[in-house]
Amino acid sequence: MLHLKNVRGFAVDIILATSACSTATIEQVNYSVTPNNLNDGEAIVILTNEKSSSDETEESFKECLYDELKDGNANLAVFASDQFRDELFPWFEPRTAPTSHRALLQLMYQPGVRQKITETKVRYVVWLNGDTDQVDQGGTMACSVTPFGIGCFGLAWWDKESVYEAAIWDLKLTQAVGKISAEVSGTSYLPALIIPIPLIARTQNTACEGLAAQVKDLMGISP
Amino acid sequence: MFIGVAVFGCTLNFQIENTVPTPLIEPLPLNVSIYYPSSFLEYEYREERSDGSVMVNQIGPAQQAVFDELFGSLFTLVERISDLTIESLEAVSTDAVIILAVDDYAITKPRNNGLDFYEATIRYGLSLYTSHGELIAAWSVNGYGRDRRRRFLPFGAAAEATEEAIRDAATLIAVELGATPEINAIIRAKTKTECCT
Repeated sequence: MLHLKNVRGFAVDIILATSACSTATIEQVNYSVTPNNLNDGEAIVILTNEKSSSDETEESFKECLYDELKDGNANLAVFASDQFRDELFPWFEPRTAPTSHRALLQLMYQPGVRQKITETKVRYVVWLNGDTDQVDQGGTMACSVTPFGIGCFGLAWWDKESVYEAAIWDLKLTQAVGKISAEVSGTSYLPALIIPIPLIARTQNTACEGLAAQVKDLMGISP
Repeated sequence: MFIGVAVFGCTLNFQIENTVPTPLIEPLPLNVSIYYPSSFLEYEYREERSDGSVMVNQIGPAQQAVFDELFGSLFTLVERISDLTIESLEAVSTDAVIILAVDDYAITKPRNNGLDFYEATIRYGLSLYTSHGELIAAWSVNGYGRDRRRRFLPFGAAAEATEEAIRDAATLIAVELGATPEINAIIRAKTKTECCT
């Protein structure tokens, strides 16, 4: 269910993709009335929300999103998140980072903050949240060593669920640009008749690609 | 940054070394003396492991570097003092004295918290005194950090979590110390004295 109260302009895209082993749902909510465009010299930064104790976004997902955004856009400036956090210390730490539009506005009134952001040339912040979990598993497999070699027999399977959300803020205009969510679930199989053959559902990768495509769309970056 | 693990006999030492960046905060108009007790400077965490070895986490030098940088940026003038005698306090002409101590530190492993993270918590006791040695206020500052479990380098995750916990405590001090009524009272008193003498 999407709650879009007090949002003037919005667009919702839902993409459902079902492959042999996974299902993906990508949703985009665009709060901006005017088109967003990343101008020359402006950069983005990808930050993870580290407040919740159990679902911290994996570094590998952040790296994947970074690679996907740079793919086909070699000149896209992506500011290093650790450096951004250091430059704006103590205002983008887990306990102090703004979590709402109002908090972002208040932060801009802190001495030196707006000037430092201008110096970094960071225009958009992509706030990442979510992770990939294994939600179920089953099956049996047995392997044995014989004088003729090693062999396995059986079938193992496991379900993975990747749920991620990216909130995008425009630091120049001090406003929320939009929000994208990606939910991908998939079942991986490992059948074995002497040799195990893994059939892996790449849920995290699918979520990354879907999220990156929508982030590019929201920020006016060519796909 | 976690800098090393050294194994000597059955003791596994790991030392962390982290600093905090200069805070983006206007310095408070106070001259402050900082005192770190030796228990703070040499603080280390020892844990006997099930295989009989001992894990030693040396935290003292890292936290000293963090708070030197932090307090140096939070106040107009900061002087570190090595003892709390009246003579040493009078020698630095200070508005207040801050004493920082480690009250508690703990590492929680993934097998204990059921998560995929090493978690570190550290609690500092921050006491504020007048230059004559009278206690003005005392606060507990809790820092929390965590780092995702690493398959082949578990102590690296514990060290990173500890660094995050120290940085978190430093963040809390940076953001909230200047807003406390006690610090503001000292600033007001100093301003009043300077204006009318």
